[in-house]
Amino acid sequence: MTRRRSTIAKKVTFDMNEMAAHVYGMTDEELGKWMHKAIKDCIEGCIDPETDCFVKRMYEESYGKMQQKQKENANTYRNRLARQKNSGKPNHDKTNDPVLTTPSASGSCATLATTPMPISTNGTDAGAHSVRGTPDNAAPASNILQLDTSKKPYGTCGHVMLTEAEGHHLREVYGENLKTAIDILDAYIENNGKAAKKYKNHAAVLRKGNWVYEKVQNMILAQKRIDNVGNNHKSFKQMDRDERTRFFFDTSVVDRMIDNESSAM
Amino acid sequence: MNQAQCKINTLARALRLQVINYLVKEDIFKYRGENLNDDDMAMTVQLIDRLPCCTRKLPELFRDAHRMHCEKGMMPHSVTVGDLEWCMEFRSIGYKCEQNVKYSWLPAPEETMLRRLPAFIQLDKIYRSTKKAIPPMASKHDVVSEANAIINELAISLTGN
Repeated sequence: MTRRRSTIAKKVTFDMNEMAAHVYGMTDEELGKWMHKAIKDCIEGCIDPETDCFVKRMYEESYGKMQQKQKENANTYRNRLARQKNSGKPNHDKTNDPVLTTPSASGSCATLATTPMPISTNGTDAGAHSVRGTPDNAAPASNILQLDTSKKPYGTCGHVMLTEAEGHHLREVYGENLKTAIDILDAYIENNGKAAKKYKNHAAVLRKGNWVYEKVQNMILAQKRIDNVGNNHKSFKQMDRDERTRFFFDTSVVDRMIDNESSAM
Repeated sequence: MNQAQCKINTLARALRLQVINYLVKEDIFKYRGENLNDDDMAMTVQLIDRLPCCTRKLPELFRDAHRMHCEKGMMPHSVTVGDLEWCMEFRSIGYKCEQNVKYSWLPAPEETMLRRLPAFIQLDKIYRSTKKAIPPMASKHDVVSEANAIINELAISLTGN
């Protein structure tokens, strides 16, 4: 997944001592302008040829570290999947990776780069660097999976079964109308005994493009039409036509000319 | 000059200016010409009004100007007052002055948009009530014709014929 430049810009870290040495001697105004340009360049990805070399170097270093981190995360995920397949075998891998053991170790805004990022090694480096694998105090992989996939009942009658992840996705699709959509499906399953067997995956039924989504959109449109009844709402085409007619048949300039002529006479 | 004639004169004058106003706006709209503010529009209308072209033939004059652009090898674009003056001088669209064209002060029946202008609608009402299309008569014309009549009488009386 490629990151957006603004996302990368948030993760750029500057060594404060080096930066202080670089900006030494600048006036307040110059420093303000330099900082403004530096932030702008970081957001744009340092594509401007006139980017300060210091800023460009810091950006490239941070970008490299971010790419490294992404690769490590991808490896971790792959290893976890492999371990899930071989769930019966004991897990000899150990790690003291601060990312996996500390609670809020995910990437945050630009911070002071005081310690180097851990380098991924799959060997037995006994130094301070971490080794890939699950932490000693982590829960077993199978338990983690079960928590993710547990379905909970939703709706007035509790017929609609959704996991948390599905719920989040549907919230993005429907927004504030999610409750309406769930109630529609819930009522349908309540009234049709066969629907409970027919619909195995309720999240799929609620997804965009299916009948529940269409029904919710029609309800929203109907409500908008009811709200606009008193407004004499015109279509864009009609409004455009009326505007053009008004433009062409506007005789205010000519009327003023005639008034001026008649007053002159 | 009676009141009806005065009213017809005023309406014919207003109609001419409204027709020019409409044609200029249509030209700007069609050819994405420069939008004119009120003062520039008034000036443009005044300058086009001075051209010795009757109201009936004005749309034809605008079309002729666009034909002139194409014949010169240019893309048709929004017409200027200079283009219209040039066309008046060097090209002919079948008019000389107001009297040579029938109903010269009214837009042609084919120009349906021009016939929706407010001045035309009022003129149309008057003509339907009087059942006659009374042409506008310039007040100067009246004065000149009266003066000519007086001179003729004097000449006759002096010569004794």
